[in-house]
Amino acid sequence: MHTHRVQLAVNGKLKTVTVPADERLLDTLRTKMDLYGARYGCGTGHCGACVVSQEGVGLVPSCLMLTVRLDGAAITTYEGLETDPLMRDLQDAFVEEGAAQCGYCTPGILLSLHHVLSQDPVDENVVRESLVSHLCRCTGHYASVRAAMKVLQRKAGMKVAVD
Amino acid sequence: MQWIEASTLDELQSALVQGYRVIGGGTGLLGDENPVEKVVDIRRFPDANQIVEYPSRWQLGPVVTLTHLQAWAKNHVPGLADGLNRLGTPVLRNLATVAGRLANREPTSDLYPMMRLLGTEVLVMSREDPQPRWMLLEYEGPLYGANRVWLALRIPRSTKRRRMVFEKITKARLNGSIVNGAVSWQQSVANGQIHVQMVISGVFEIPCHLSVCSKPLDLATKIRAQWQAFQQMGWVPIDDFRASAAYRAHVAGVVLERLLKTQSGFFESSLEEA
Ligand SMILES: Cc1cc2nc3c(=O)[nH]c(=O)nc-3n(C[C@H](O)[C@H](O)[C@H](O)COP(=O)(O)OP(=O)(O)OC[C@H]3O[C@@H](n4cnc5c(N)ncnc54)[C@H](O)[C@@H]3O)c2cc1C
Ligand code: FES
Ligand code: FES
Repeated sequence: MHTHRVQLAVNGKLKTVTVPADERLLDTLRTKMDLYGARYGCGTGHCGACVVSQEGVGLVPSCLMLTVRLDGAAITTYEGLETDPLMRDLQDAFVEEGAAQCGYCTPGILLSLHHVLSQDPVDENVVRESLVSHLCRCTGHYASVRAAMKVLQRKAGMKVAVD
Repeated sequence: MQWIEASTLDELQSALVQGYRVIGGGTGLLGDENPVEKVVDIRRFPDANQIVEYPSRWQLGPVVTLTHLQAWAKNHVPGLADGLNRLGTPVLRNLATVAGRLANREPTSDLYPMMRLLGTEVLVMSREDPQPRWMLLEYEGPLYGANRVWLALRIPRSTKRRRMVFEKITKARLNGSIVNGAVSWQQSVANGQIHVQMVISGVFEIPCHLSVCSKPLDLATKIRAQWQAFQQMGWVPIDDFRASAAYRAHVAGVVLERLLKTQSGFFESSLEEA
């Protein structure tokens, strides 16, 4: 089996791993870096449980990415945003709105919502469109949309107050 | 699996001779139940991920993603940008490439009808013929195969008198489409004739191409176009677990009707101006 040395920045830290050519980023994160935020749901790009952010590209399904192709790439996983204020707000809103039940899909959905709420302008349609990348078997998307809109409204309120 | 990179024609040809398959985004290749044994990556070819604008055409590198095409199309071919919004999911489009979608011969590929109507050409290199050649994008052209590579795509620049819209009907968003299609209208400056072209796929093994010419674009022409399409639908309707052939034929009619209704007012008004 051919192996390759790959260097990549994950959550701001440089890591070097040796991987077989067919290893997916999802497996590298979970088995070689102890990062469990990205999860295996389908392995075919449909469920969004494995989503991570790649610098210069955007959100991508890590189950369909060969780690060997990512030499020099910068990846952010859910863990990389744990202390981010916007992510904290989203987590709080998820709790308030009951947007997570089993929680399997939640890190992927939170990453997508974080990505979309970091952009300007944002409205409910944009929020809904971002959730198209995700499947949630327990809760559906209504509560996630409510949570995201709550964060958006709070942000807007703060902006008005500051102005 | 073996993975290599090629950044010159010689390296690529040698990879093809050894049985390597080109990898674009990998969303089709790697999600497959029977993954490939050998893949060759061509992202280091010059301009591989670029869209370059020339006076008469726009040229896309082989690993331009669907998201990139969509962002670019907003300013150049709005109908294409709208259509791409309905292909897969945002996360998928960030990874999947234009070439990967088009080289993949699924009858319900959403991109094919749109790119075909735009007159897209592909620069093809094959194992047998290492000299790259431009060819019109075909659904199942003789040059397609696992031992061929698309090194670039080019789209002729559109005129203001050309419009394109895309429509699809799916059983569920992620289950794949049942029927899809695109229609483009182009009006001749010389005689005001409107040339309507359509590609409807998902109903047949091979997408159905239709073309009608009219002045003005009236109800009789629309009925003629629909009639032509239904004639062809009788030939080889596909029937799979997602929808029966009869149901596909029914929704194809709905798609055609919507396509013909959409924006036909644009030409009716621009005819008066002409
Ligand atoms: C979740 C999900 C949803 C989807 N939804 C839709 C949808 O709504 N509509 C739709 O049309 N499709 C849909 N698809 C299919 C998707 O569009 C294709 O998987 C994708 O476009 C393939 O592109 P890729 O770059 O990932 O190709 P790859 O997986 O890399 O390659 C696909 C095929 O193309 C060949 N290939 C790649 N690049 C080249 C090249 N330069 N020259 C020659 N051959 C090449 C490969 O060898 C392979 O045979 C969906 C897929 C997923 C996973
Ligand atoms: S596990 Fe990657 S999309 Fe489902
Ligand atoms: S909360 Fe269980 S899958 Fe979404």
